[in-house]
Amino acid sequence: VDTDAAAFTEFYASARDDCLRVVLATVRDRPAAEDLVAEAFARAWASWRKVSRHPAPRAWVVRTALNAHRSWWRRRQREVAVADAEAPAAEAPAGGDPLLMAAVLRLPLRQRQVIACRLFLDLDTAQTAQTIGIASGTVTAHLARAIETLRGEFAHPTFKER
Amino acid sequence: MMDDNDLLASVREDFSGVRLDTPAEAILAEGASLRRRRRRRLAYGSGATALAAAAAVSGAALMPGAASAGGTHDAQLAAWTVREQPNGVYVTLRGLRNLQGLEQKLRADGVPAEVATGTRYPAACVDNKAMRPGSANSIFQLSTVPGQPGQIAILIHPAAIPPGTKLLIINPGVHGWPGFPPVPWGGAAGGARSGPISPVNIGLGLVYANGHC
Repeated sequence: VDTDAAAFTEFYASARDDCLRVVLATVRDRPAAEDLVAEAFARAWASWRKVSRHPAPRAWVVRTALNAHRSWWRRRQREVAVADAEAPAAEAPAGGDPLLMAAVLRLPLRQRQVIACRLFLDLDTAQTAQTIGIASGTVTAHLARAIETLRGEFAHPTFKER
Repeated sequence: MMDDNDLLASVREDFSGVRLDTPAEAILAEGASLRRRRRRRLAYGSGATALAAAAAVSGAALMPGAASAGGTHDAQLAAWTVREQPNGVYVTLRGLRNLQGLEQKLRADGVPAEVATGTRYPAACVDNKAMRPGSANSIFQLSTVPGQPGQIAILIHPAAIPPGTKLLIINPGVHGWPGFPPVPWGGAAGGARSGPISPVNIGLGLVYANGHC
């Protein structure tokens, strides 16, 4: 058990920030993303025997977090008249220059998910598709559109001053 | 001209300040708690199918026994703590995040609960009889946490929750409770602020646990 705990702790230390970045790119709410990822890691530890053998454990964590977010949000929308049901506006989390991060958070959902999986989890096309639940044939197109949009943002005068 | 790799490297750099600060110890503790609950469910096994069906209908009657059978356990992540105590289930709220996790933890500990966000809930769902002050006080008590300004504590007595009802913990979100007198919260609606973390402003109530509520 101690060996498992040490291996999990090492995995957690190396993966937690990147998993948070991918989930943040999806939900665009920093506190919610932190809680979803923390909960997903707890589930990973509860199922560590299985997760440790997974070909992409980081992807497992992100998928678990995103599934939890989806199921919770769907249920809430059904049961409660939520006054502030709109997705939270993109905010600029602390740290780093937020201009490109804000540009990523403004992308359409699939584009920001695909680019985050590619950037932070280093997933290939098939793994990216599986993680966010889309057809693998569309991953490349989403990535290309995202990069094109970011390139356009980067050409904006605000960025030229960087 | 910047190529795609440079652009993506810049994006990655911009996200470098996004870090998860939850200590590994908290994750390990919560994971272990999840594992214990899973084992307990397995221990109750397929022979309990009829009981499970009954529990789904009556809600409160059978779950406390299931929760206490596995012994005391805690779960603590950033925003809240749930602790099984001899006198009930003790919840401490420091912020209102991971509400789904809070709901799941309460249910696992024998509290038929729904944790919701919003300023409205169907009035027809509220169990007005159970929400009379005398009844409500025997089911839960809301208080502040000594020495912890802004935190809220709820002591819940799961066995006192009437069959067919569930405890509703509802947070109005950032907009508060604008013009919201119709639903009787039995004097139990509580408000406080959790200082630097986030506002904690909740209402507590008993609502029917049926397909419509």
